[in-house]
Amino acid sequence: MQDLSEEVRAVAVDEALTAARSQALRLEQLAIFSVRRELLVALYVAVATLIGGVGLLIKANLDRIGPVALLTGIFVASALCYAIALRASAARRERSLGEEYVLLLGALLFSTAVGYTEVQFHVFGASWSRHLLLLFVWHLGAAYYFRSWLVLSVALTAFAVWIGVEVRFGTVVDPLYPRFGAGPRSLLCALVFYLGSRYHLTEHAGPASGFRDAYLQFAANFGFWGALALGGDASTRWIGALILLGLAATVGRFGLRERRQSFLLYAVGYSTIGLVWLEALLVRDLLRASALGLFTVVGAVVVLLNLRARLKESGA
Amino acid sequence: MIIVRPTVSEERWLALADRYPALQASVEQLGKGGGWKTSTWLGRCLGFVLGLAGTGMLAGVLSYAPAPWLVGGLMLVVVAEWMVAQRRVFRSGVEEALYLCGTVAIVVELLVWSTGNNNALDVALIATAVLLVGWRLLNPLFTTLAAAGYSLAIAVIDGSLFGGSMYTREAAAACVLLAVGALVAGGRKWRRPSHDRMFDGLVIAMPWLAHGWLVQYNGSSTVATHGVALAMALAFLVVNLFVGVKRRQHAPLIGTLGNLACVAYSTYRLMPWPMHWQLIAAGAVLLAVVVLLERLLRHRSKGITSRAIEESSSVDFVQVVGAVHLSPAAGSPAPAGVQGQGGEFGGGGASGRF
Repeated sequence: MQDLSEEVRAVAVDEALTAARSQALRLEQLAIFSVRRELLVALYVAVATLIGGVGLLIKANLDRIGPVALLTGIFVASALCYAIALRASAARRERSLGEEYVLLLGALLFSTAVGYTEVQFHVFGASWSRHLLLLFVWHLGAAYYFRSWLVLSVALTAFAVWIGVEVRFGTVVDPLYPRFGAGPRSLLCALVFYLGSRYHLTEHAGPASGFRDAYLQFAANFGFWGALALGGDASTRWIGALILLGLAATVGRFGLRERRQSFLLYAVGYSTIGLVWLEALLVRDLLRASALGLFTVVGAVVVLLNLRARLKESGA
Repeated sequence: MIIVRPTVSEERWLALADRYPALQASVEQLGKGGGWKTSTWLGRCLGFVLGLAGTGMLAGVLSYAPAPWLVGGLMLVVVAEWMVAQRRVFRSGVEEALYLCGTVAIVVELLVWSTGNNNALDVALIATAVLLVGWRLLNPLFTTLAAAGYSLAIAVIDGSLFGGSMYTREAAAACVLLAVGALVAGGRKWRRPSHDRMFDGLVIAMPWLAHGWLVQYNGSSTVATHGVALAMALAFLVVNLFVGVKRRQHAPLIGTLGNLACVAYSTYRLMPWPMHWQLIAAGAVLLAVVVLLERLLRHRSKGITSRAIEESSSVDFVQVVGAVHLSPAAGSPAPAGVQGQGGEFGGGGASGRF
């Protein structure tokens, strides 16, 4: 057991931090003990288990139960979850952690039901992947209505999957179709998500405060994935490398400016992966490629430690 | 011999700065952290990955050298020691990866040179090396890994590492003893935070490992074995929950979640119920219990509460990843021949591949 109350008492703080210190003292003396993280993990596991069970149920009992009965059951369960969230909204109160995850469960069940409907009844015919666009629109609307960044994450994932599997994307941007592979599609997603974050630029702390972060996290990751995918193709290798380095510089600067360590880590981590990959592709000799890779990794470690130091300095 | 690492007092101040971000600047102004450079857990993970990548690259460079494991291992340990002693880097992930890989490489090279063919001794020596690194760097993950390694050494006494009979019950018993010992030791107030974490690691991992030894590894477990495993998992679940609530400690409560998974697995193996119904029932029960618990604890301002006490205002990276992971994957459209037959199906939410 740990008790750092002796140290907490010794910390000299100004008026602004007095409350933080007394809170810390209460925590150290176990006057208050939060189990929020344990509950969060349990909720996540519960939702994942339920969704996994529903997926297996569909697979195993399609013949016995029949598609209409299965769909009705899943849609009803989804509606119940949405109803719980609606009840909180109607009472004009903030949803609890549990209700937040019940809402997420409702969104995931809805996704399952819509996907299953498409497979079973071929609503969109040859353009079957458009149901993902429908899911994106639905989840985006729900995310903004309920002010839930968890549902927003589901919406953004649906959008990315739609872009990823939309095999007839050429009908939208025809001239680019032959070259519209995984890299450009990821970069397009990143651009759309970044634009989404701009919409929340002046966001203040509150129920929707996670929206900008969710958009930015998605934008950064998809941007780097796109650059790496471009780097994997011989014809776009150098463009990919340039985009990767440009993104690393931009995301790193953003991380320093906003004091967000995760963005600094993306910048260092993804650029290191990209550079080592590029070196391995260009230098076929094991010894030389390993030596180059070693220098790159050492450089990345030095950059990482320096960035952390700068982050601390900027916070002081 | 002087081992350069944070003193007890320095480590306590570092733990304080780490635990309360709001007080971090004030704590650092006091300058009692001994000038040690620490990292957040996300930075530590990246540092560890970079350390592993660097080790891999060094292995490539030394691939034509004589005794590459020994030479490389020594180089890695020297660099890691230099980082700790000269650069005062602590818990950055990089030095931890280098120290771990270096030490294990040295031991493996020595084992390759030795003529003996004793699997248990080999595993025990590697586990000892990991334990020493854990002790040197005050790393609870390494000490827990070492304990797992010792349980593997017990399992392969007179046996083979791959295939053959293993002493799984004895290994499970050793894990149970370690878990109980750590649970008892965790009740004491330890001055050094990392020592506390080391016991936490054992409290969390050992019951799970004991369960794993009983039901999984030898692949020939019987109904009786599953019954024993279920009883053991249930016992640990109750004890961990009781201890966690009574002492207000996170480790036993996290251990409870692991025990819950063990109980679910053993129940699944013992009950002739279809898996999907078991998953749906387990998920629904867990969801209902947690929602209820959260509701009960939400408004409490003292004692055990479900309110966020110290929470970042920004969306956590892990939470975003978690939400994305839960989203059902899209597949390819099902060919007409399998329509209505429960085959593969595609599209967000119904691929069946979760």
